[in-house]
Amino acid sequence: MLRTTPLASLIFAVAAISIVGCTTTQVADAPTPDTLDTPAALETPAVITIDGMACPFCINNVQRQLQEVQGVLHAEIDLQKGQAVVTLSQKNPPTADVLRQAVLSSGFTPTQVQMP
Amino acid sequence: MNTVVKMTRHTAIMALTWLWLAPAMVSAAGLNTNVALSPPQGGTIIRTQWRYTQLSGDPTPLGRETTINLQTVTVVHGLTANFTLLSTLPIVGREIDLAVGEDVSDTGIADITLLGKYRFHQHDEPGKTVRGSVIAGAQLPTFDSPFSSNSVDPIVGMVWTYQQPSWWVDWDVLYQFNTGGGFQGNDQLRADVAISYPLLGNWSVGNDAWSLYAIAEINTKYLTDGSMQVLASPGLQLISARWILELGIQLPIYQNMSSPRLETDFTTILSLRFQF
Repeated sequence: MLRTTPLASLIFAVAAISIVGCTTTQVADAPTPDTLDTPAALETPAVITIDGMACPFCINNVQRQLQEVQGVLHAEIDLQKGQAVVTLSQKNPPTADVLRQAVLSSGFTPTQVQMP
Repeated sequence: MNTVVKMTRHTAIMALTWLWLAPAMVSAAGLNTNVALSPPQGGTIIRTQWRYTQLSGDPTPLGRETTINLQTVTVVHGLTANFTLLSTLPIVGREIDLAVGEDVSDTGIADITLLGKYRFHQHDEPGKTVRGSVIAGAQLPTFDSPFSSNSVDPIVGMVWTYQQPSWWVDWDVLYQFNTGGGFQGNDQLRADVAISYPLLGNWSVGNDAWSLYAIAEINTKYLTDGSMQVLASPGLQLISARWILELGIQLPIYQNMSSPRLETDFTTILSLRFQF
């Protein structure tokens, strides 16, 4: 087995630690009525039918883009159904077009957006 | 005679070094590839990989037996939904045991790859997708001899992906122009095909759902000095929504190397990807 220089090992370790460190970043949890700082959610979520999702890695792409939309409290992706179930804020919920654009930005194709 | 041995030794070492930096060149998906990685707009994927390669079959009187330890860090960023930037930094450590003369042991930073990928075709269906992208960029010199070509070497290519939940396949072809010439090697054409299919699916660990995939790749390389390799890479991928851990081995199926290039005995691969 080769010995690498300390510099090489350090760079590799920093990259690996950066990856591990990033795992502490949590996606937003689903809001509860008891969370004082969380806006109240609409009772019925939006459901987006999405084509092209075919691998587990796809989930993160779509979820990330939807949860960055203002007025989206939480997004749950069902790979088998090809759907995103999106919990919306009662105050200033996004429009269907905004949700559709978020899915397009993730690299997939929204075919239907059912708003509450 | 000593001068001839020195010149042959130097040429052999340079030729060997360049060829075995080739895995650092970014190519398509799978164990040995990066280009099919597609983060969303504003998203980033970081992949770190460690490759251990053993080479032998020296056609020269030097009797070289060589091990190369290659560590790469690849960063992939989605500028838009269809345009991605990729960059790979390779760190090389090698040991060359010589039957004639003093053994060589050194480390350095090989040339940095910088590529742009534009997706020109996308056809999505429920649970399926077909995508095609063109690739253009270059390997940029670090001038860290002998690991650098000391020249800007353009790269062009294409990658296609077909995915469905039960299996997916990635195919790529890339051509690298080596403008340095001489000891820096020749132009390289490579083509790769990778097939991945699930072995075990969807068990939960914490907030993530995990799946275990088997992957099988065929990697081909052709150099304009006539050298050619066909390599097989079986492996495993442990995949969650944000992580992929990969293990594999690359073995030669066919090799016809022009002197003074060595032949590959095997390469072991350990890789970790994270998306954020």
